[in-house]
Parts: sequence; structure tokens; C-alpha cells
Amino acid sequence: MGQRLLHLLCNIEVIPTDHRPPKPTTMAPGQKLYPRATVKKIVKAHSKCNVSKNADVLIFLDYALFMQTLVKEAAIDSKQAGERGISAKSIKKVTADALAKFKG
Amino acid sequence: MASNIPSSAGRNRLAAPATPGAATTTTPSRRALSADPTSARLSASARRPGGAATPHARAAIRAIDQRRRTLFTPGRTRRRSLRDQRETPRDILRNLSRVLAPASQPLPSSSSSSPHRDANDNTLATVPEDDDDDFLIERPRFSLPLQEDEDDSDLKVPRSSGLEDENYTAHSIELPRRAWSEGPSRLGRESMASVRFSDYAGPEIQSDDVGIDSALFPPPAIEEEDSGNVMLGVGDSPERLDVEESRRQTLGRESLFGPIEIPDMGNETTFLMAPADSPTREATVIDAAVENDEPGVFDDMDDDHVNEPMDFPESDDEDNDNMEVPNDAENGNIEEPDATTLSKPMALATNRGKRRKLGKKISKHGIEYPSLPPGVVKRLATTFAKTSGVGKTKISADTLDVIMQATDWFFEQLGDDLSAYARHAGRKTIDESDMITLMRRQRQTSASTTPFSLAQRYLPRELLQELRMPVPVPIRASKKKSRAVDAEDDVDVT
Repeated sequence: MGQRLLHLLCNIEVIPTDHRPPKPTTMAPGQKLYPRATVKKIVKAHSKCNVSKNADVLIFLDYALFMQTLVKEAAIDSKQAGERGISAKSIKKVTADALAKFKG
Repeated sequence: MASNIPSSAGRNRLAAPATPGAATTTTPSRRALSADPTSARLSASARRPGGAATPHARAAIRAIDQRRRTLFTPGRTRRRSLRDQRETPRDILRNLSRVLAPASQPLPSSSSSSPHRDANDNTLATVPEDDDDDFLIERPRFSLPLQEDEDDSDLKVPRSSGLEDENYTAHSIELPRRAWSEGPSRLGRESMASVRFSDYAGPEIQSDDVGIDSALFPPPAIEEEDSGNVMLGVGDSPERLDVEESRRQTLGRESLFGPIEIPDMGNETTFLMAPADSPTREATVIDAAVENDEPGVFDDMDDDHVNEPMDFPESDDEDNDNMEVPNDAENGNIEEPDATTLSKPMALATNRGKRRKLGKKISKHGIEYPSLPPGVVKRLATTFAKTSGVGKTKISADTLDVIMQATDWFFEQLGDDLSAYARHAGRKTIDESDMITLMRRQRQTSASTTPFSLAQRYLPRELLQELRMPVPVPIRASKKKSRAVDAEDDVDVT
């Protein structure tokens, strides 16, 4: 029983590590992760508000989460459709759901 | 005579199409320019019968010419020097008369005198019987008196009223116009491609220097963004002596650089900056129009372009480079301009392709914004695709397009939400607390996952430092941070 629980725990343990993206340290060292000014500009244009100094980091974090959701869902969808890669059609199908999930 | 030549040549160089008559007295043309635009061509096409504008303008021209003629008539002024130039038929006749004068004799029997004498004898006697050879009425005189006066100085030059003899209907026909919006090449704001300032594309435009005056056509629709450029153009355009050109430039749609002619490369460097809307734009625009009840603020925000620093200097650089090419050619080093002209269009072509793909989008507040670079999006998507367990993690081009679309929608939604939170808090600035609120409402953060743990997972260390740097965060956040440390400890332990 304890063994089985441990096994279950290990399985549970395995899943998040699987879903965890690779550490960004794998990225090229000189490369920027994203253009901060561009993100600020985009949000500023949409919200008509100023964006404080470091809020764009969190914004990009949110965007990364959104992308994770989008790509994951699309991968599931295209796997169900029997495609190998991630197709544009599955992304299109999944986009509305992902956006609704990220509606504040 | 010799002093006349340089002045006239100079005048011709300055105002090429101007006739001398209009150049000596500029008053009618000036007045006509300010009064009615249809007679603005007076100075240029005065002598041309087809191009005359209004009857009044033509009459004015004719009056000027008559004044000149009366000024310079040889009989009036006795200026023999000018007689060689103006060889009128009357002069020819006079020369002929001078040649013939010593050899010829005046006719003794003029047609008026000799029959008259005969008739005087017969009239009293035979009036009633023969009407045919006798004249009751005095016979008209068929010759001019010879010795009356040789001097023709008091002969008036015939004056004409000036308002006759032209087919006005043919000249008053309106030529086809074209609406500005459906012009042949409606390009972007800074487009240099339309060298012609008039929007009329007819056959007469290249016939001569005058053509169809653009003043006849309605001024182009000036957009709000254009107004600055046009004002700048009015102030900056150098004063040119021919009225046509300056008028056309002030009225026409004009680029930033005024009359500077960009060589043929200008067509290639320009790119279409059509405002490509995001697909949800229509609905949100209507929403904005409904809920936006302060138009003044709207216009203000419209004026301060967020993207201006990244938009304008690039085009300036391109155009400056293009303008430098002829300068180099003038300086004499021929090799270098060739290299630049060869390399520049290629670089610009690649640039343009990229730019067109990126496009410029306008948010519902009327602010242009760039989209996230596709490379960043692709890298992120590939990273997540690797972990999603798909066989082929490569993101194809059309998939990337769809993802970019979703990205745009996401940022639009995010901006809406964040602005709602910031306004609700009475701020005009979106700060981190709004973002934390949003992420909690999105259920991305919970008791176990804090923004900071997420950031530690997803973001590189430099950005993490940026996130932690502002230490004066609210107490709740610091509590969260401690909890986050606990949670991560748990994660690390297990």
C-alpha cells in the first residue's frame, strides 16, 4: 500500500516535471528572450495606459504561459487528428479556448 | 540691345514658361492667381491659343500686348534700331513706296475728277434722258489721296475689345477628374513614389510644362497624420519664381522632403504601410466608438505616436541614404556610389519583405503598435512543442502565422484587462500589481504557484532579477514571496 502510494506519488511527481519547460539556461547566452520595448509598446497601444518599469516581465511571463497552453492544447488536438506535427488548423481550433482561459 | 540679352536670358532661366509680356508686368497674373484659380496659367500659356484660361485673362494679355506694341511702334518712338526686328507688311509697303516714288508720277486724271468734269457739262442739259452714263449721285472715290500726310505717327493701332473670336465652349469643357481616394497609386504617408503632385493622370499632363493645372482639381484629402507634413512642406518649400510649381507643391500631397527628386530607387524603397487590422478589429472599433466619450483625449493620444521613434528614423535613414547617392556621384568617386546603389536595393528589398510581413497594426485607441518578432514567438512555441510530446516539433510557416494571430489577440485582451484594472485602481499606469491580479484571475497563480515561482521557471535570470529588484512591493507580495520560497522548498524536497 505504501509502496503503491509512493508509486502514485512518483507518477504525480513525474507529470509536472514533464510539463515543466526546459530551463531557459539552454538559450544562447547573448540572445535576448524577448524585446522588452516592443512588449511595452504593444500593451501600451492596447490599453492606452503607461506600463510601469518591470511590469512587462510579468506580461511576458503571462504570454509564455499562454503560449504553453496554446501549444499543448494544439498538440493534443493534432495528435487526436492523427497529424505528426502541430498544424495551423489545430492551433486555430484551440485559440479561442486558450484566449477564454486567459481572460482576466 | 546687348544689355537686353542677359536680363532676358536670366528671366528665362528663372521662369522658363513665362512670356515676356507677362514678365514685364506681373500684376495681372498675380492678381489672377489670388482671385480665381482658373486664370493661374496666364503667365505660362498666354500666347498659346489652346491654353488660354478665361476671357478676362485673355483680354488682359491682349491689352498688355497692345500697350507694348504702341510703346515700341517705330512711328511713335522713332527708334530705328528696333525697325529691323519688326518687319511688318506696312514697312514693306513703305519701302516699296520709297523705291517707287522718284519714278512714278501722280495720275492727272483721278477717277473722281475726270468724269466729274464731263458730268458737269451734261447734267444740266440731259438729266432726264440717259441715266446710264450720267451720275446723279456722286461717284465714290476709289483711291486714297496721295499727298495728304506721309507721317503715320497718328495712326492709331487698331484696338480690339478682346472679348471676341474664341470658341469658349471648347475651352470650358471640364476634363475628367478622379477622386483622390481612387487615385492610381495611393501609397503610404512617406511614399516617394508619386512624383507627380497632381492627381490628374491625363494625356495633356506631359504635353508641355503647363498641362492641366492642379489648382483646377480639388485638393487631396489631407489626413490627420498628414497635416504636419503638409504644414512643414509649406514652410520649407523654397520660393520658386514660377508660380505654377510652388502652387502645385503647396496644394499637392507632399512628402517630407519637398521638391527633392529621389531617383528611381525611390520606388523600390517605399513600402506600403496600409494599416492592417487585426481580425477582431471591427467589433472593438465599434465598441471604442460607443464607449469613448472624450474625443479630445482620443485625439491627444492619437497625436503622440508611440511608435514614432521606431517608425520615422528608419524611413529618414533610407531616404537620406538615397539622397546621398547623387552627392557622391557629384563628388567624383564613381566606384563607391555604384557599390551603394547595388547593395542598397538588395538590403532594402529584404527589409521590405520583412516589414510587409510584420505590418503595422492600429489598436482600438488609434495607436500603432508593432507585433512581436516572429523569431521570438517561434522560439517560444518550439520550446513548448518539445515538451508537449509531439513527434515533429518544427513549427511551419502557416502555423507560425496562426500563432502570431493568436498572439495579437492575446495582447489585445491583456491590454484591455490591464487597463481596466489600472483604471479601477485610479491609476494611469499599469504596474506589477495589476499583472499579479490578472494572473490570479486567470488561475495561473494560486496558493502553490506564485508569479515568482512561475518566473523562476520560465524566465532567465536577468529578467528574474528585474522582477525582484523593486523591493518596495506591497506586503501581500512579500508574503507571497515567502510562501513561494516555501513552495519551492517543498518542490525541491520532494
